[in-house]
Amino acid sequence: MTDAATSYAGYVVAAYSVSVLLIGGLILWTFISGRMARREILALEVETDRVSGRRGAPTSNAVADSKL
Amino acid sequence: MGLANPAVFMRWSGRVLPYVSLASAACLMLALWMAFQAPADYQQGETVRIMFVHVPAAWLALFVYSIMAASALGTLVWRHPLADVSQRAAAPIGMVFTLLCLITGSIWGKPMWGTWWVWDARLTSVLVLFLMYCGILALWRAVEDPLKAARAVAVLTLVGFINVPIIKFSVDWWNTLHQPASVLRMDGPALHPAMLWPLLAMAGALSLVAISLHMAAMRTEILRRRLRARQIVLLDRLSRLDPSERVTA
Repeated sequence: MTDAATSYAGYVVAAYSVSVLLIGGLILWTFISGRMARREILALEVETDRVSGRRGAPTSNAVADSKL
Repeated sequence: MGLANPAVFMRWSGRVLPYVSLASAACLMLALWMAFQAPADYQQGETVRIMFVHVPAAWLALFVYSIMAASALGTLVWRHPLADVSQRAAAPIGMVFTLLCLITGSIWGKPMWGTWWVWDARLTSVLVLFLMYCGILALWRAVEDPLKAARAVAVLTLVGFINVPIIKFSVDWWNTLHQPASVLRMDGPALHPAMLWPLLAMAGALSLVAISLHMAAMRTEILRRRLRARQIVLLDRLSRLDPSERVTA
């Protein structure tokens, strides 16, 4: 390997590091936002049950979902 | 079409997503191994390995935008219930791949061209694509009414689609520092198979990553919309309660 090729290795490392950072960040962000949405839905279900006072009874969530 | 129903999509994607994610992780490992097994270029040396990330990122930046344009048509013409969900989920993915293309291209440009950046047609049109993605994401957040936002974004996406053929043919139409197409061309690929196969493997692997991320982001977007719809139902219930009941609720 020539000296020039050796010095180029730094550019390759930089390019792959940026790739890992960006794609890894995107994967992490997608995963975390999915989890947050699921948690918020569960929290709202608890709140809906509390308001209706009929835990386990059918709620209008199905109606709300069908309007999406 | 059965998948037009968000509930059916959630069931179907919930079953498929783990397998697509596993397949994309396995393919990415294989593609990375192939990328570092490929020989160094006789002129460019080791920097040729940047191509295995830069070129698939550029393809995906354009491919994701094309998916968004198709989804925009679905929103405006057919009012498909999943069209704007797909568009909204795709925008951050396309933005990241465009940014990756710009940064890796710049890192590759420094040792090969002697400069990080030039305002030539290819580089500038890809920068415009990146700004389009940023604008689309900003517009989604700026308009409060989801229906109006979806329509405004669909129009902007379709107007911006004119940039996609400009990016593709910019190296043929103008005299640019960027090299002309060497894979997707009429005479067949100009690359040696020792470099072509790792490139295609990485393109396939990153496409699988993009597909699994798009599917996961669509699921999240559907959940967010369900959340909004349920919040409205809850608020409606609260407003119907007697004032005495409201205090205890």
